[in-house]
Amino acid sequence: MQNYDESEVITQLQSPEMRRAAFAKVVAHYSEQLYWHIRKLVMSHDDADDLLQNTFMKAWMNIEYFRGEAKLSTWLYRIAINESLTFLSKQRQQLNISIDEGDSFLAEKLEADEWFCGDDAEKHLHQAILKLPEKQRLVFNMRYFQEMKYEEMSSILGTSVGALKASYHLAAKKIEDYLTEKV
Amino acid sequence: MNMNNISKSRTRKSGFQVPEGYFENFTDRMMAQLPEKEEEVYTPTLWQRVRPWAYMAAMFMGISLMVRLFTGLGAMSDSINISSASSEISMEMLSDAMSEDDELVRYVYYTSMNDNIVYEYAAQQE
Repeated sequence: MQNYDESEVITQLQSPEMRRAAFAKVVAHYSEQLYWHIRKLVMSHDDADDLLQNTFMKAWMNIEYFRGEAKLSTWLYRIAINESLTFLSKQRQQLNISIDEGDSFLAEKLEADEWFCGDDAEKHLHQAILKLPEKQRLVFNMRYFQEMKYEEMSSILGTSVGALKASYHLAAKKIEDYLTEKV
Repeated sequence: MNMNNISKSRTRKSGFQVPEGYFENFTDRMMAQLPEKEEEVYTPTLWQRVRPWAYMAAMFMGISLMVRLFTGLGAMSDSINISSASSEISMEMLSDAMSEDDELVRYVYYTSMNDNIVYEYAAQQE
């Protein structure tokens, strides 16, 4: 996104006259990265689209409470993660699935999604990721796909850098084992 | 397959796709959904405007009542002292104090003088 100056945008968000135009800049700047983060959690494009809209709607409704103490990206990621995990929790409740049973329903969604055209290797990778516990999956996606720094992940997830590193390496090991077994 | 092999093929999309022009149109689509934020114009109610004055008036009334209460207690305390000494009040003192009837009433009231003294004084006057 061209001409995106975060500190300037945050100042404009505080001003009622400039708030809407500034928020449009925020949406344009963050929509793609937030979309991919949500998509990796919920798999389906339609669900990711709904959740991305909910994320920005929640941000807009609470924008006057954002005072710039945290980074705008941190705040938006927190909203997106919260929306996604709440959505998954509701899905599990509807399907009567416990969190310990794994998210096989997401693998089925991935198979059925018309906007997934991955090859076998990519499909196996996503299946392996879906075998991970929710928190590990979150950490793995942020680090592996989005190449996010551990410090930034720490501020978003409220977990220490050490714990995140441990969680990522554990997740990577599990995925390796799964793929070795699969191939 | 190990993680190194996966890393070589890693992309953000990794098999996922989006409809044509999805990100290009998303901002406009999103902004069209956002409700207008009405700036709250603060219009205080009559009570909210009067409230500080009402509180101040109540405070002064409270202080006034407390002052009256304490001064009243002081007067009562004097009265008690006088009452205890009333048996020692001489008729001369009483006579000096009573130039008029209303003064007698006031004096009796403030000194809590007992009836016998009043009757004695009245008899002398007759």
